[in-house]
Amino acid sequence: MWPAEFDYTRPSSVAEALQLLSDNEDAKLLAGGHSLLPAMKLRLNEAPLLIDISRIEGLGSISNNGSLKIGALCTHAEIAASADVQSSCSALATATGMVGDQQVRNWGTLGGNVAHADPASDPPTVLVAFDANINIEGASGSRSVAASDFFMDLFTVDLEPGEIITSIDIPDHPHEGCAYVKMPHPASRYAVVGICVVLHRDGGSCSGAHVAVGGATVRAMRSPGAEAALRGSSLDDAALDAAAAALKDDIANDLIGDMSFPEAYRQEMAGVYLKRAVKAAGG
Amino acid sequence: MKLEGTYLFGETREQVWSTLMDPDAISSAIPGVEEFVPLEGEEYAWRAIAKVKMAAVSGRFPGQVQMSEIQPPTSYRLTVSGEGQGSIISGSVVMRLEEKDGGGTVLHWDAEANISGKLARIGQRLIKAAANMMSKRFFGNLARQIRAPA
Repeated sequence: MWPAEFDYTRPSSVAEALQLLSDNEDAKLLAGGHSLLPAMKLRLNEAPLLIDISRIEGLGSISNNGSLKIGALCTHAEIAASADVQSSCSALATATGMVGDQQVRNWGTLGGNVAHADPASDPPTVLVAFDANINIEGASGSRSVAASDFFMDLFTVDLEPGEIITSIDIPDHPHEGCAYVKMPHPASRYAVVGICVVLHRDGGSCSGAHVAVGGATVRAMRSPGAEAALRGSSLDDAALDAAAAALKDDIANDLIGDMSFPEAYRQEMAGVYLKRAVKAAGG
Repeated sequence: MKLEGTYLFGETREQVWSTLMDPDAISSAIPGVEEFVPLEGEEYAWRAIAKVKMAAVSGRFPGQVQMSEIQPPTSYRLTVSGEGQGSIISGSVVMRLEEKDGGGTVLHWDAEANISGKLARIGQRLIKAAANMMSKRFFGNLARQIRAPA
């Protein structure tokens, strides 16, 4: 399979890339290329110009100054292996370590992943659970969007044409346990259901929880109902049942389904995997 | 693939009907429409081009939009068909208006969407969700125009 003919350019700065984007309406940004290039080879996308941002300096590092800052060009493999990520947001290390296969993880970037916003992808669910912020540069300056607002709908994010994601911030969020668990599609390994749980403990009881779901829904989203059911509980079976029921209610209008895994099945599995995620997070 | 939904309006049935029959309202409600030109000799059919940009897919789909089974001021069928990216997309929706007790109008819509070709093969896991999103956008756009007539 060959893509249609296209031009290629490799800017060396974000400013240069922004200028190229504003001069070429149908151009596409190329980072890791692991979502874009397959679409081009299938001729589902015939972008006349690729703007390769993969070698722009300063977008590919991970730092931790109170909050975790992950450059948009960091690959899934780099994030999964990062000691900083493992210590302050281990669920993200888990999720990025589950994306595609090793070759995909070696090239695919976190910035590209969130811009693409595949509902069955793993990292967005963790970013939503951890209140991450997506940092964006555009012609009119920079802005920052909370992950739960950024993911708007199926493949739809709060990103204007002509804007570039530069980094993702994960605020310092002390917690006693977190986990990302998923039910992988048996063939593609995409998430049929993915759940991220962050737990705060106060002795034997749970003093607070963040719960996010993806895969089963059109976008990664929080479940306020499940969070309320876990808060103040001792994370016993009754609390887990109540949280699973609340989660299923919260996602009822946003379910996704296909021939193999219809909406009702995914809704049910979301409850099952929520319980597993709480256990995996030490609950 | 079948989809359906209901919208509630404070406007009278005649007001809602006139927006539904307004080609400008329909064309601006269809996501991504760039061209909308009446077919020669046809009162209720148009040639349209829609630009679709979703996930890594991007392209222009030329097609047709048609109104039929028109029964003023209660119902008609809107048929949309397009072709592009080695795929055929078609959808047909019956919109039915009902006067609500105590004022206002209920719009019921019942759609049947079909997609075949490359997009169907590759996007199998997402077709239903995509069709759902597109119809929500269409009716969301339409509802805004009914609520805020120009």
